[in-house]
Amino acid sequence: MPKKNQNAIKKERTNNLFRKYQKSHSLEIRDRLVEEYMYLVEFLAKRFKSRGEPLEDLIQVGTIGLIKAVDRFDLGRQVEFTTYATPTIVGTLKRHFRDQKWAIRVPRRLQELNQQINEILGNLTQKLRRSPTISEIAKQLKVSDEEVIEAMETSKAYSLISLDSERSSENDEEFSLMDFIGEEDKHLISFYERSSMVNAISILGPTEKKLLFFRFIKGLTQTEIAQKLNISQMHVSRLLRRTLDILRQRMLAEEAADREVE
Amino acid sequence: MDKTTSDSISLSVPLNENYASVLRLAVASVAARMNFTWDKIEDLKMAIAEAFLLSFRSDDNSEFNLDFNLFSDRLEILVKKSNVEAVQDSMEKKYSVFILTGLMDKVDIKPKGNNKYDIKLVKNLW
Repeated sequence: MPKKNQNAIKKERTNNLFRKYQKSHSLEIRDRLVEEYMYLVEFLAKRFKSRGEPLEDLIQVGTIGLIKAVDRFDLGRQVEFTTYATPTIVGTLKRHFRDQKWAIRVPRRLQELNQQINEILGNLTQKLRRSPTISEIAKQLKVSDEEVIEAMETSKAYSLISLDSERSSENDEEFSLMDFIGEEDKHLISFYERSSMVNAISILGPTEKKLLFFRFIKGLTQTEIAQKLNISQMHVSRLLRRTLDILRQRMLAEEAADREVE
Repeated sequence: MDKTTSDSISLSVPLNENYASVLRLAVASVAARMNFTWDKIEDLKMAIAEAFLLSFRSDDNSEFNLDFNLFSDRLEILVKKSNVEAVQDSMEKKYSVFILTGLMDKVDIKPKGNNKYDIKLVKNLW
């Protein structure tokens, strides 16, 4: 059979399937359509292979895009399904990378180690009644000290959950600047003399304000803060670092602006 | 290691933001060797990055020089002749000193003339 013919037959068959699906919304037909176009997902997923995610995961994500495309495809528009589905699938894959927790691609080995450390940090802290040393962690996980240090630094690559994301606005009781200023601490007063600093802090969400307060004014350790806020130590570290970054940048920007006025 | 004598490590890093992670890894590895706890290593990493990032805002394209002095009971980080505008009399002085004293057990800033400063950061082992 000539190839052209074969394609035409195939196209007619899928068009029939689409017509049936749009009338019946039968999941069985949808499955068949998805199967029919899986090759497209595989083809597109491969293009994202080099970004450090396993291909199987990408195919899974891409399949979701394909299902969406099948649901929304309109035969009346006279475009090929593949033409229609490609941007949807690519979009899903891109969004997957964007929403991924890891902002910078980190080797899987380190990601896993990072998670393992995250898990045992709490246990070890409880057992030892203090924060563990690097070699204690390494021994527990049967890896080298260097690997632990590397994984520790890796947590930075975790994506910057926006400071104003839900975490910040979570029905936390309002934690206002007054909570800071109310502290009668000499250090604090000198710190707050500068209105720009106060300005900078005012843009932070409640969780970040709490972090600053606990860490720098109350002098709690990261472990203690993690327990207080009921988040992981690594999360405290990440948020703290991010908070300092924001403050520093904000202040540099304000200083630059001041200079311009002068 | 005696309390009075110490091993020393000197580092010189270009004043370029990208090297902040090199310093973070370096201090982590030195501190891990000394058996610092996870929490304290996090503090050290944050402090060194803070000192570093606050240093390269001037036009001076010099390098960031620092020594790690390892004692049996503490780690001292000496940032040498930094031209940190941050330690001059600006609002950032307050900010950076605030952050650094919050993270370290002791912060000592000595003027070295010519708008240069030595910054000593001390973290006790226990």
